[in-house]
Amino acid sequence: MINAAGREIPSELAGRKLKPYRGPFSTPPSGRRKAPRLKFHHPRKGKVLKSIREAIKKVGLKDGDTISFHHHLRNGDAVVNMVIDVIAKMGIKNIKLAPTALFPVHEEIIQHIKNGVVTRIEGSMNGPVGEFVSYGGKLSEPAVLRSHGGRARAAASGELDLDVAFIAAPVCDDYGNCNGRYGKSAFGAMGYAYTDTVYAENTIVITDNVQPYPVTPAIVQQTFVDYIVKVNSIGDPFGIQTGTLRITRSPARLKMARDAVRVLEAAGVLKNGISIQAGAGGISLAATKFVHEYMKKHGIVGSFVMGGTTKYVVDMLEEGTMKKVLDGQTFDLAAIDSLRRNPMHVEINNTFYADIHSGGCAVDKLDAAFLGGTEIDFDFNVNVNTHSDGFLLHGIGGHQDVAAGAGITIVLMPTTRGRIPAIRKEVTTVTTPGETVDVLITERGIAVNPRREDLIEDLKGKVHIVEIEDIYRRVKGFCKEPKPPKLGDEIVAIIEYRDGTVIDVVRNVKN
Amino acid sequence: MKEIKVGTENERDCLVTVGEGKGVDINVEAKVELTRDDVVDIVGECIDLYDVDNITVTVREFGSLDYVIRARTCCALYKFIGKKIKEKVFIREETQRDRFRRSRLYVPGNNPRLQINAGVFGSDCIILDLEDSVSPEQKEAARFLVKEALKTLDFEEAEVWVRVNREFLEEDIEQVLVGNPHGICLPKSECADDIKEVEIIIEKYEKMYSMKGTKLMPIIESARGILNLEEIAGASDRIVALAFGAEDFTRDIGGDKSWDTLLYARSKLVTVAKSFDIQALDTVYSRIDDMDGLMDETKRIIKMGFDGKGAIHPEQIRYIHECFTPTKGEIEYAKRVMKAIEEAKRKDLGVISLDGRMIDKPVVKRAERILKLGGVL
Repeated sequence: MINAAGREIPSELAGRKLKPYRGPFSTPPSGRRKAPRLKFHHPRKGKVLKSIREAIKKVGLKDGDTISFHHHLRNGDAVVNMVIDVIAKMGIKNIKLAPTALFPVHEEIIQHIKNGVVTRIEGSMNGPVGEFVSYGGKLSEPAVLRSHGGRARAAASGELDLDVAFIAAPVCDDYGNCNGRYGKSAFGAMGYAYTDTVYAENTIVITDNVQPYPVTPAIVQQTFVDYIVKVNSIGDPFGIQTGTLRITRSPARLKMARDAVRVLEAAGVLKNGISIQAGAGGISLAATKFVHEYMKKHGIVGSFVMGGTTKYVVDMLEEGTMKKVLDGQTFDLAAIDSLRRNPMHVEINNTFYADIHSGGCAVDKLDAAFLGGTEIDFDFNVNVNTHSDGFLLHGIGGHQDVAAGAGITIVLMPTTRGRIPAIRKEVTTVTTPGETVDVLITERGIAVNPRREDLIEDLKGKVHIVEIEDIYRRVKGFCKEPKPPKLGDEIVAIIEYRDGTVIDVVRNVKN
Repeated sequence: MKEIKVGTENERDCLVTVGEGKGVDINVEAKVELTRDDVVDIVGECIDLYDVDNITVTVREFGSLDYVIRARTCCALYKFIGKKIKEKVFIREETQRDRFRRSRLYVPGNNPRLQINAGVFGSDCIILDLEDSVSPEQKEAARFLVKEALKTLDFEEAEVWVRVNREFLEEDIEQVLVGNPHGICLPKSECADDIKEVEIIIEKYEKMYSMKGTKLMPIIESARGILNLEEIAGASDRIVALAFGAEDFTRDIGGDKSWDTLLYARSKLVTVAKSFDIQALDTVYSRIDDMDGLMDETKRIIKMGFDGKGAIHPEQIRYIHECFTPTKGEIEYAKRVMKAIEEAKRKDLGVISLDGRMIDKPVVKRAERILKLGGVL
């Protein structure tokens, strides 16, 4: 069947009936939130165990179960590898791995896919594991990719049925209260962890820092935690702050970031009360910085800034251009420090952030957002998952959620990456539907989605707008579209839209 | 065995190695495997063009566009066989003598990464440089790269120039004219003979390539050049602007780059240029982090009558343009001047006045220029 993004989707796959994507707000949910088992803990019994093995034994993890991890330690994470290693040694097989995201540091999971310990993955795969899976024939079922909000939604609905949530925590008390703010492995907000603990049957905290009861704030709460395991180290703090966080120095990209501010100014949203989503890519960081400078110069005070939290976001709070920071994921030390001491820097979880099947989520309240991507087509559909050669190398992040929620969604994308143009007649994979994307800013011009007649009217005479096809044609003069990748018939991954419908599938890359 | 290497391993460049072989052997190591066959095709086209056999071409590619691969491969083949080929000449519309040249961005001739986006910053001119930014051993590679860049890249609205080497005038011009730039910048122009020399070469290749209209921009950067400004400015109809090069000039006279030191040279250059009805373009501003300094200097040279300023970094362009942008008051006055003229024409009045002041030809010219700079006309 063909879904509303124009992509061919099978109606059934690996025993699962697929619902086609119908539009950003066209598929209302039915049913109820999942309720995990009631728990019971005797007040005289301890929760702290000696080893991961013991904890796994106690919760009764068995062949075929689903385990989850959060990715707040990013490329510095040691816990995923540590736990899967123990599971493998215990002889448990056929595990469904449900991390919120995997990073290059998790490359050794490939071994455990080969030896049958991990046979299914639901979660983002950044880098080597994604590349490995792309060749096909590696997993027993296609991987499932979800946005941050989609992940929270699936955990809540029970579509992602978690048997054990493993929670890496840089500080925890002996009853399981933990947060991400303190300790040698501090990473800041713990938004991805919370939802998993609420819906998982069992929760095991893995920490390198046990502190006396009570640890506050209790982002992950004692009421959900079954066991705690103390290890020497949950990760490498240098890897926790991933390398995406340098502001761009490329003049062309700086120009794009400045153009983003011009668009917001012309659209009339750069005024008191504005709320923005700040991306963590180099161009988005620059755009965030320039918005801050603009607001400061004009005495504008916004309501909140959200997104991957960085020094640039903290600057807005501290220099008074934003009243609050809503933080689901903290990227650098300045931001971790701010989260600790500034009550206006507020930690949020993924349900609050972006779950469409809830009473409302924070992305809905965004006036403007800066996003990136690998490809965009004439209908403004954006690919963030695959490269033009078909390899699945990136997660969705909050891309779909933010695009759907924000008043003005701006995609900042250079027209070429090496020999490959970014604007395509057809993208390799549709991640975010074009009807939720409003503006494309490239170094060679600004295009507005024709659906946004209001915005085109607002920008008239203030910002030079071109057709996306014009930029495409001009780039084609010096950077040809490569031929399509050689893909097979096997579906290696399902790209879910944030509401659980299927927006696209990823097919295997032929060697 | 003879082996030729052209290019670099830098981002967006490629390294091409040509050596002897059996038949035609093309090896490509591509950054993205998917595009490997496309690279092989381009190399194949180059080999056909040069009509060579028994050759091995190896390309290591680091995200380089087609034009870079073509330039590197053709240069390597040319060096390998030592034979020139007849090429299709690029067609480009001639430029206007009196168009704006507020900013001119110098772009290194052998650096693909800096060339690709050169057109997106809105500078009035782009100068692809074969001279100071290219080391002697890379001159040949740069000629090929600039030629292919001229034929391929999108410079948007900018006028494109090539700054050639005084020592390799003919080698440079023979190659880059295939790409049909709007004009040639001649560094170290010191006398009329320098201009005549380059003009003869340009004429020779314009004829050979069946093209015309290549403009000239002498760069004056020595005491002698300043002394001989009049004969330089009058030496060729192709000259549309005189550019000042303060770096070499200060070295030549043994002074510093202070305002006072350069005042005489600037004053003379502007005066001579205007007397020949050509534009006066000021030197580059070399401290790329000091935008206040750039704006201060640009405002001063505008007051002196200069028509443009050089830029060595794209970020400088918008600051330069800001200096050239007329104020609201200036625009309003200019509009009133134009209105008064129209009215006078309609009423068939000989003498026109506005606010009690006579409006003569220079006032109208200035008003027109302000309206153009302000984007009104």
